[in-house]
Amino acid sequence: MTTRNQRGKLRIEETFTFSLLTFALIVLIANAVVTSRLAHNLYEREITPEFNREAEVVGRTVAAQFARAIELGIRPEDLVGVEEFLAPTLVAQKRFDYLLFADATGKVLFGKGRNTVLYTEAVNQGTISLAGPAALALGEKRETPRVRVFDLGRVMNTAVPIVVQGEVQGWLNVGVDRSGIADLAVETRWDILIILLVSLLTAVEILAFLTGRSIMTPVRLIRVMSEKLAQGDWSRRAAIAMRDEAGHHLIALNAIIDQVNGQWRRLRWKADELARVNPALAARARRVVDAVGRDLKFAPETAQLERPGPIPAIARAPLFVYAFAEQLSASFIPLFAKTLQAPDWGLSIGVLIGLPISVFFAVVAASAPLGGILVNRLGTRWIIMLGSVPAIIGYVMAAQTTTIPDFLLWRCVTAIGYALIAIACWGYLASLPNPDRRTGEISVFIPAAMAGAVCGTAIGAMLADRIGYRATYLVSAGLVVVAAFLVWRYMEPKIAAAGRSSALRSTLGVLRNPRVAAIVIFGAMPAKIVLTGLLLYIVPLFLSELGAGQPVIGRIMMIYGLAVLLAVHFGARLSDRFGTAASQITWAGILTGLGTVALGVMQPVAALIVALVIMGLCQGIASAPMRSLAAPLFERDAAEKAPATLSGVIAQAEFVGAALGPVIAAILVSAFGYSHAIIALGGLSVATAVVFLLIEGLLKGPAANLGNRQIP
Amino acid sequence: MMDRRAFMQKTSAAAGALLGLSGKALAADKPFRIYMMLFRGWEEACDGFRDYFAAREIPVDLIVRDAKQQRSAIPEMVREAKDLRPDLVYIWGTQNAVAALGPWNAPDPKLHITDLPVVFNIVGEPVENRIVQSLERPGRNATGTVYVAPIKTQLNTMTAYRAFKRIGVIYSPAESSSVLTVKALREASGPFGFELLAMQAPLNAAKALIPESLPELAQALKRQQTDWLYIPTGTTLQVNRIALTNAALEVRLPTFAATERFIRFANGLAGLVCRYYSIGQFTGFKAEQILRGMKPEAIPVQTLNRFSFIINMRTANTLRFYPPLSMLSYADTV
Repeated sequence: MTTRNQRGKLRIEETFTFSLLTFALIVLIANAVVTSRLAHNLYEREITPEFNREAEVVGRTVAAQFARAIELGIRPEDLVGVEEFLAPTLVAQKRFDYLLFADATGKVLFGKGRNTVLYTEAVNQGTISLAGPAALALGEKRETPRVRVFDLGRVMNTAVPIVVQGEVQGWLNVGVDRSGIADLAVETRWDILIILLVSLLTAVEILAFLTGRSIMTPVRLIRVMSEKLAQGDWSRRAAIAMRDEAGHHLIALNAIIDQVNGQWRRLRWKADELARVNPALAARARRVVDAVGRDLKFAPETAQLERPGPIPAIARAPLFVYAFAEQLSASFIPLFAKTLQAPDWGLSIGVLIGLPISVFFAVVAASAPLGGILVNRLGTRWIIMLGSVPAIIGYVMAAQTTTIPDFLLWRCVTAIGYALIAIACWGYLASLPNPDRRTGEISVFIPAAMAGAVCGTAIGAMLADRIGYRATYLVSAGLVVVAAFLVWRYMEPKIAAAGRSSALRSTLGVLRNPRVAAIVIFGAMPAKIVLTGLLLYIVPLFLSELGAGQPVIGRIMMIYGLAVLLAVHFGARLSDRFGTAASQITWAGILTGLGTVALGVMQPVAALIVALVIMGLCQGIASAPMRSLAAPLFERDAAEKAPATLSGVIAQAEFVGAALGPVIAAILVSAFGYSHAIIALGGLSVATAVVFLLIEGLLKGPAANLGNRQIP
Repeated sequence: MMDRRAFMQKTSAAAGALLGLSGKALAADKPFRIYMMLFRGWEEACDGFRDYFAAREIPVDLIVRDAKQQRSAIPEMVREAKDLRPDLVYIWGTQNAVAALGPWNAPDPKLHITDLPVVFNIVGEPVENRIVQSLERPGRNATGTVYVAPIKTQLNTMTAYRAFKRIGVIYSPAESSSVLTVKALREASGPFGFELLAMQAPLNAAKALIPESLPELAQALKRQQTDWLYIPTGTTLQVNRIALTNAALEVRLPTFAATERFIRFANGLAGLVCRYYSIGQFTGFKAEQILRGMKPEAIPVQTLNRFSFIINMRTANTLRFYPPLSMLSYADTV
């Protein structure tokens, strides 16, 4: 239990970090708003002439053909097959509303497209006047008239003159839908906002990392040293890594400690010397010296070094970057898989394209025990860097894969890497002293990973839209290199990770408790089945089929991540304060299910957003309670190991669920179509939540309040 | 039939071929002798043929004879060719080819050319006319070129210009190439879904067309709501091309021809044709292969891959009958 004193000190650190980050956030948000506004206005000003230019270029090409026909002697009104001639251009140029061929006065002879009535009205009202020598521009000659652009409100009309032997014989009018321009501006504004949001989150992570490293670490060390000295322990000196103000402070402390230890040694030597000269006095001196030595603790010959100890914040930045790298491809894995050559395995294409997602989680789940053993052997830092290697290889090879089996192979390789990284990070956190661990886990692990996931999903979608799927995988590889560098540079060389003895035995041991089994099977697993099935598999495919572009898909998926981020802290506080862990888990499951019902009543895209928001909030609220609900059931067993094992087991179950999700979703989709498959998944969520509630209710018995960790 | 000079030329030809030399290095001493049998005089196809050798720098000695549209003149030319024993015989026109070569599987050595290599030009339906066994394997000592687009392709082009339900043809029953074309049209009428009105033109004593009869025939076709007048190959029609196309123009009947002269040098409307000049050059290429020593039996009868879609804009403007705008982008206008 934390002492009030300790808790007080913690709060200072937290407050400092919090204020710093809040201030940074405010500055960044203000920047974001202003820049986004400016960019939008500028964009509209710049993009409109581009649209007009496109209309002019295409218009000229089309007009040339008319000119040739008229040159051959064909009268404009005698032209044949004009609509068929214009049709391919309209199909190719999606932004064009219409193409109208008009005579020299502007009267329409032939045309194709929509909203053509706008042109006719404009001619009648005189908004468009093409006949006669009206309004020659500066330098414009009558024989070579220029292209004229008219703003008809909803449509920009570009009139290209058709000149044959010095005379204007007709006009080709290209109508461009103004809303196309507006749409493009909106898209770009979204992209800018997303980039700013991602920059914000990244900046927060960097700040947290830097304050953790440069400020918190030495501050904590000073605190620890001071506490030791206050308690009379002079046996350790600080391990100093930096030459800044804190470093000077620690150097001064060390100097004091060295001096005191030196004086103690002199004192003992003097006592020994006295023994030689005057034994009676020596015995009394000895008693005094020993009394001092009992109350205070001094160093033997050389003092041991006090190291700062692991800080959760050090793991934060690399974790963020690793999650970022992996989630870059989250918005398009099934879409990318669709473009690859499918093998002849007798599975439907729907299941095949879900396999890359499934195998990733399955391999992570399977590799975890191995990772645990290696972490024990080699320490956190090395394992994370080791894990980075297969991750990088997997990404680079995925970038050039051409068949689904090949892609699956490289996803497995990446998954092995990530398994090692994840286990190592867990080990890092598990090696923290107890109170820090839970706080650390919640305030570091999940937010950093979720923030990375949110940023990665959004940015990955935008990248894929611009540079393609394969290049995005290469970017992932590059990010892993960055993360590995951060770990190499800043993480302490060897952390004795919490022992994870035979994982299988402890896993089964954990599950022997029926309440824990209930949480794992009916709480943790279904949540992940619905998550990967809906978010990672159905959403990209469904939205793509509805015609949404890649950036839109990324944005909508990001909403889920943001919802989780918002809800996680809240969920932890809630269950701590009110002990409502079980009901949180239950309600999370039920509400997720109800959220999917939106697909039956609303427009698909809007319904998806609603469902994802609800799912995100629910999963965020339920995530911490799942662990806190099960933890007390273990304090009977080996207290040190159990929580790590428990977290590990829950995580394993979650990975298994995550692996099953896409497969189950694929089967549901091929049977029922997208909308109903989503509702089916929601049904699964509700059903498992109800089962969990029943089991909890049956097994809980009359006992009390799990929130304050009473053993029932 | 391989004499000393031919042997010398053959080896130097082979050597030249290996080294990619031009024809100049080949004909070490004397130019090749080519006996040209024409039917209605020298025209663009022959120009193409002759210019081919000039461009390849192959010296040739051309012995030109013209039947002047008289079938009776052909046997005399055949005899002269056999006497002169040239390196190659060039036969222009279907009538010449049929008369001078005979059927591929049963030529008469007394009447027909059987022991000299032959290349033919501007010959219609060589397989139907039994001049060669098949286009891939001539099956005799003669090969050449085909200058007319397949009938299906022509019909497709006509449909693209303007869909039709009824096609009319005016032709001479004495002209084998025209007769064969009409037969092909009749065979295509079912699958394509159109009706064919084939009118045989009256002939005079000399088996020639009577130009004065043409307007009436055209009128008759127009009265029966014919959409297009199709003009097949055939010398008789060629010779009367202006009268024929004018007659159609008078009754505002669009014409589609198989050969370019009706459009380029008369008042026909349109056609999917190959340029005579180009086909003449292609025939020259076949001739060079024979002169280099390849056997005609081994040289397939081929046509040019690309045909031109040509439109006579004057006629189109007079009729106010235009192709779709997209067709104009690849049409040759004359």
